[in-house]
Amino acid sequence: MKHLYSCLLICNVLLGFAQSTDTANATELDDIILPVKKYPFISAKVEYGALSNSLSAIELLNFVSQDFLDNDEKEELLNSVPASLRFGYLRSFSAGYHEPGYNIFGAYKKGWGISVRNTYYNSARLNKDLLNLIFYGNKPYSGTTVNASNSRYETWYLLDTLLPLKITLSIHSGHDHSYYGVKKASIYTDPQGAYLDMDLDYKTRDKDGEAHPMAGIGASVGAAIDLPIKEKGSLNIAISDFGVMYWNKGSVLNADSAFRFEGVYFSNIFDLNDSIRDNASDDYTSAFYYGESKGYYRLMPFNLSATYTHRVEKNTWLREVFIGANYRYLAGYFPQLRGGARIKTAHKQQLTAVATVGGYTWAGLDVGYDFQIGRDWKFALAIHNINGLVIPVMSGGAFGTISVQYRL
Amino acid sequence: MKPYISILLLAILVVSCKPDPKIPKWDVEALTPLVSTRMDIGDILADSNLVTDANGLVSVVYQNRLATILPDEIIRPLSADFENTIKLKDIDLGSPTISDAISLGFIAKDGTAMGQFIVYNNGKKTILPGFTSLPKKDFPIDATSIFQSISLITGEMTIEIQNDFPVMLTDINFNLKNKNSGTVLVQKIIDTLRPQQTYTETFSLNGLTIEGNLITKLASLSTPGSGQDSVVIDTSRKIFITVSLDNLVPSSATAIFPDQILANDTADTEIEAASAQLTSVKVKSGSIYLNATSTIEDQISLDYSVPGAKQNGIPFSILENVPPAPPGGTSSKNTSVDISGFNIDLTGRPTYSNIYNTFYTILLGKIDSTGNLINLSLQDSVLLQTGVTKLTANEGYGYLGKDTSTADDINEVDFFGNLQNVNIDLEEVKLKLEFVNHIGAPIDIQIDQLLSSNANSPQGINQGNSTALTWTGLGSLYTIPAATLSVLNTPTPSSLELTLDKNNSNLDKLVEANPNFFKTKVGSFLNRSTTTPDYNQFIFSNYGIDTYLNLEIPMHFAATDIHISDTTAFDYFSLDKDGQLQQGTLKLISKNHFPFGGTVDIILLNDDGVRLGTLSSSDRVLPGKTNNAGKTIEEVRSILNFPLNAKQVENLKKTTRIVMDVHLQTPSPTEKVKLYDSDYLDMTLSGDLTIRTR
Repeated sequence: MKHLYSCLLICNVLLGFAQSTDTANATELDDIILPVKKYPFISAKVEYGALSNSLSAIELLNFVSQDFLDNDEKEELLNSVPASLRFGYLRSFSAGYHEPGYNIFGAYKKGWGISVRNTYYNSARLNKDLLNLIFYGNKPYSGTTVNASNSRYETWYLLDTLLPLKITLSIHSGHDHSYYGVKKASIYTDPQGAYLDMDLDYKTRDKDGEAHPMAGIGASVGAAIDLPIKEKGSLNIAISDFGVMYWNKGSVLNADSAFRFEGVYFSNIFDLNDSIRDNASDDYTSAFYYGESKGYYRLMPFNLSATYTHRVEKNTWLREVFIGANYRYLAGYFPQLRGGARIKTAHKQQLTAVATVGGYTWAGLDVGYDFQIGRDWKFALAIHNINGLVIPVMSGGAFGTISVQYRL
Repeated sequence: MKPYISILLLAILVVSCKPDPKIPKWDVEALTPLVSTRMDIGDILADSNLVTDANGLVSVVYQNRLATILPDEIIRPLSADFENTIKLKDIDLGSPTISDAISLGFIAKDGTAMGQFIVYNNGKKTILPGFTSLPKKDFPIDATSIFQSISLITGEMTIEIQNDFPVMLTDINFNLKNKNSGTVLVQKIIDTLRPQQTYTETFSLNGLTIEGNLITKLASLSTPGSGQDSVVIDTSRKIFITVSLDNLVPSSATAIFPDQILANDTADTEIEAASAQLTSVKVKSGSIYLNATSTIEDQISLDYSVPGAKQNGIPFSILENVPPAPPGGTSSKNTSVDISGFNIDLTGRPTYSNIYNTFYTILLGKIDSTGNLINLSLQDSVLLQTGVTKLTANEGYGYLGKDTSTADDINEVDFFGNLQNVNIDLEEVKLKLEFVNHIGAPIDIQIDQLLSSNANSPQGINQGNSTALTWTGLGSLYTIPAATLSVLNTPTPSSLELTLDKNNSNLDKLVEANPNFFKTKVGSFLNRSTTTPDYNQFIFSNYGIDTYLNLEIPMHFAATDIHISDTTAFDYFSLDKDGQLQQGTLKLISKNHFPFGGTVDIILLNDDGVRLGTLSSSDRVLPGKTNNAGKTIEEVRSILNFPLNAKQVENLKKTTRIVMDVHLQTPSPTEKVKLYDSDYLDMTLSGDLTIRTR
């Protein structure tokens, strides 16, 4: 039965996948330079979108907007996928209050702040064979061996409380989490369905799929350092959300076995009572599985970045150029290289353009625009992988950020 | 922190419901094994009924008790009561005796000249002159230590007077009377009483009342003196008087009653045992009781025993004391003792001979004297009730007599396990009727009827298809020897076997009908041929005569239909809780090493037993490949497809019970095949299913 569960598990993993997110760009846009006021302010930010290495924005939109996929639609969808599908999906709300520190009459007044962030990550890297299994089932592949190895899927749903001190200390309240890591999955289906030959090595960590007020608790730190390089250059190295989360009473399963599944065996076909069924299932499970309900730890989806910025001479429209690298600890996320510039477009307005390689897409262009209205309002808008919107049939998807700040 | 911060934080929580991305549904084609099983011969036929020979050929063996005749009762339940009332007239007051004496000095104290002479010469030797009379004198006699008063219906008083004076006494005039009432009990004149002579006389006391305080009055006394002889004058010498009461029949008394036996009765009790002459029984249940009620102000001790009733060698006995009754009241004692497990000798008293079915009891009642004065009257009594209550026996020993019993039993049988409605032709059937006798007497047995029925209930046997046994032995008498007793005193049965087969009966027809019941009518006759009573016989109530059916059916047969049908609970949503199954095909993949094949239908039923549909296949489970001897030599693979359309899926969701309905046939209706213990049927049920994602 364990093996049956294995098959179903793989299906579930794949059925649960959707889109991806790239939060590295969002961090970048947070740093857009606005006139620094030494007054307290409140801020709010919304991040939403999905990115993929092979699915276009249209395809992603079609996927989530349809109620049912027929075979043609499945085929069209899967034709876009090369050897594997990578995607990330992010939805995040945050709000905060800040009192910046500043010098006054030769003395430095310390600042402080607090912000709360509600975040949902959904990320995956799925083998093409596994996708085929998910969308078509195993029957089309009976008589052959399907290799669904090297796949990973993970979701996070949590609430963060961030306290930006010298380093940012975050306390995380987990609502839900799931992780499916398939290291090896080789499946052969007998043409008549008499048996399945499986060679599986996978792990799952699954809370339960429900949103709990407090299903897990964790802590992380974030820190950044600016290193001046020559007169106009600086190197910024930053890490955020680096910590662990403890999930209480989740399903922990480690499977590593090769076996033939011939159905649940009943010693007496004429006596299929509940207890015998349960015993048969238990026997099978204990033979191939190690699974239990207990608490577990997971490394948080941290973000690590390094950016070199070169400031340009004043009074020119080009303020600065930068290059850097970024990595997010999410399933299917490749290290991303970035290069871009910030351009002054008007008084208290700025445009940022970034070219990227890696992440959840092969390559893309991020665009951000931030501006101030009056004395108190500041806005920042950004679209990541804007090429996925401009040319919707082009793979990659898109991801947006809206940030607003009000001076008190 | 300012309030708007809190508002912001709250807002972020409110808008943050779980943001699972919406996923469309689609159908996947799953091909997977679901369940698998191996059926062997033990799954088809009950394992416990199977034996195999050296070659592995399977036979069904079956033993079933067809009839049991138990002893109706060894003895009839026995209850017997005895009553014994002891009245006062039966009470022994004993023979109380009072003694007193009158000294010479006492007589001399009357103040006469002769008295002064005697006193003066006390201790001297002198001639005592004669004198003719003395003044009247009373001598008290105190018997209150024995009784205060006794009113007699009849009685006797004996008076002894011994003369210890040195001279002869003459004209002794005395009487004995009650001190208080003055009633004269005795009036007597004794003419002569020589020295050392004793006078004795008995007087009737009929109708008199005797008081404990009596007075003897000496009215006159004379002596001729010592004549010429000198005698020693000794004033301490006496005339001894003894008064004894005897043969007292009181109407009432206030007395100290001596230890005495009130009752000593032995009684015989006979049990009813039909024509049996039992020498002993073991009591299964029953009790012996003793109730006593007394108005006597003294303790009554009772001993009620059954010497022939023993347990662990100890005779049965009830020992009880009835306490003294209060004045004017009664005291009682009620005792009942369970005698289950006692062995009772039924040969009567030791002095008897050739007596059976009889035991005796002894009642002994006594007054244990307390030494106190006790009031009694004619109305006083001791009422004793004894007896046996509901005595039954579970073991009987002795000649059991002659008896006739019949058994008309219906017994459920199950020769072929899960197989139903078998249409089968058996090559061979062997049957033995075995009669087992646990009674220590010869039994003649007679089989009047044996029939098999495939009715569904015993009540339906007369309506169902029945097959009666035809056999030359029906109605004949067969003798089963007597059982013997083991050293542990349990029956070692004897038995008789009668063999039936296809040659002398239609037995195979009874079996091939795959009956649910066997009906048997058997008669038994106890000691039918016994001419002289044998007192070494025994009978135990839990052991009788059993009739067994011992059947052996070698699995060498041809069958046009062996029907296996089994119902099991089914809950679709325990397998597909979200109802994802759309349609598909169930595949039954079989590898058959049995020499028969057949069809399988899956019948879907709801709670009310209504058939919702049937999953059928046009394919068959093919039989294994057999050789000329009918033995399977190679398994054969078959695939049965059960299409599942959308309507059948809906029916499955409503199904609460499924019936696996299997019909099996041998390859040929005439060529018989053999079942071996190595035969099997491997089945895998796989699903070729269209499943909609969640």
